[in-house]
Amino acid sequence: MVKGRKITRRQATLALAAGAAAVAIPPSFANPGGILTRAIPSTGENIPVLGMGTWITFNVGGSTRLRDARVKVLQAFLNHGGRMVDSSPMYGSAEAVIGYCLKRVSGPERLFSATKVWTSIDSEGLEQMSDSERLWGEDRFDLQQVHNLLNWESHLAALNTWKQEGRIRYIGITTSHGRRHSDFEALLKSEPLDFAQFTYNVLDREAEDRLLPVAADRGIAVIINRPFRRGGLFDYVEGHTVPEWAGEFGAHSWAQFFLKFTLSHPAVTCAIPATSRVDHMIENMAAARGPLPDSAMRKRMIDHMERL
Amino acid sequence: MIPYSTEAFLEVVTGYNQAIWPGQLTAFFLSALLLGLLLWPRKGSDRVIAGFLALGWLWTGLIFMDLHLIHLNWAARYFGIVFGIQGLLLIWSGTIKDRLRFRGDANAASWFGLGLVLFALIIYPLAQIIVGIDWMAVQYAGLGPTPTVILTMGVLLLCTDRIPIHLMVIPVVWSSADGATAWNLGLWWDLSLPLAGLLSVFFSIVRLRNAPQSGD
Repeated sequence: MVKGRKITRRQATLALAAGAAAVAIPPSFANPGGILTRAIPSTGENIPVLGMGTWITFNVGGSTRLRDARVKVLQAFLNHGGRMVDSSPMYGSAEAVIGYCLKRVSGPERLFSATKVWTSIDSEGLEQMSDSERLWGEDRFDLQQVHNLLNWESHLAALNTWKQEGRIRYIGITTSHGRRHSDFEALLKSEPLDFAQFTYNVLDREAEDRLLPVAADRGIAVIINRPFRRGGLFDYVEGHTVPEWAGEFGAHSWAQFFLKFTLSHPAVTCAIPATSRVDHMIENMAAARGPLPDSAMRKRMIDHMERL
Repeated sequence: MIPYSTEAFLEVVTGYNQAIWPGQLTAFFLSALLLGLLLWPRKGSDRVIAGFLALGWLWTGLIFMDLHLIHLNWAARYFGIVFGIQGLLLIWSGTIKDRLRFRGDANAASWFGLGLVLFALIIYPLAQIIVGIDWMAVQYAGLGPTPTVILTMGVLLLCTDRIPIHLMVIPVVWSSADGATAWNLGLWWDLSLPLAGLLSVFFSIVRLRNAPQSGD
């Protein structure tokens, strides 16, 4: 068994290979040759089930030393099959740092760029979205989201216009853990959205009651933020080892245990864990390969966590 | 929620210190002068002390917050405004109106105030350097928020007769807010700020209760 996040790439690879044969998984999730992907319901386009969040981790200001370290993190993400990078103007220098990194990485596939608009002033929305394009160095974003529903009435209208003009491909809304879930649900039901982003993990499962079913019913892709509860899940399991039976679905570290739980919900399109370390990135990305827990195993995972 | 890591914050402080070098030498000189004027007051020294404090708040707000921390935290713009307001209040009350007398009284509040002054000017930076923090990653009084706020609370506790509450509000509020940041980032040495703020409130209340009533 492996404790905490201390696992080598070799260990993870060997363990994954062993675990892959152990559990039957739904055929639509299986992709033995590479990273698991899911379809965006509104277009059918497939994207990898793991993206990369940038909250805190990519907000490193102008420090060349820290920026160069983030280049390596992004390169590891791309090397291991990642495509979606998610950020926001709220995250300090994160968008500028992403732009710095994108100029210095190579990747076999096109990035799936996702950011947000976050301002209470109508007129600043378009300016902010243009700033994001400039900072990232992107001609157009794949996904623009209204951050935490701030001024959503105005921004959703602007995003729809941009989508019609071809300046963005998808639009969405986001919220953080526990915030405005009823408003969020109402928008999922009433607005023509491609994506919804909210919190869901093995301990924060409120989204199972309303948001995930509504998103599935409405054909809205779901991005999961805080799959590690902002690191809180690692604190929660401090001193405990990953159960051996987690190897049956290829989880050999707590990070993989948590990610595979989140990804195994059928309504989840992808999760966006954030990290500032290359070894953690590799460990995370390994969770997007091989089997995922089935419903009986998911229940076992919840029971296990709640007993700790 | 703090939108940056400890590592990123210390890197910003380092970049800031490198950018203003050798401005630290001026700050050290002014700090020594301030301490000298507190211990051996002269005619007009109170105006000068208030001016030095104001300069520290204005510099920290305009340069550290608005030009450097802003890269990590969009709210630094508003922090800069708050620091600017405190600087202007100190100039108005202390330098222009000459209403402050930093002579201290023979009471616990004044002794504690003097302790805070020495802590902010000497112990706070030295302790970090001794435990291995690069001296360029350390905040110095008059240049960075934490020691500037501690220094100000200490000097205000040295006020004779009455502590100017209107000048204490921003430092105390900041000390609690910054304490939460220090806790989240694991900057244990910055937890001295909320502790200093709490004790400053305590001693301010004691001084107010013991202050002579008008007409007595």
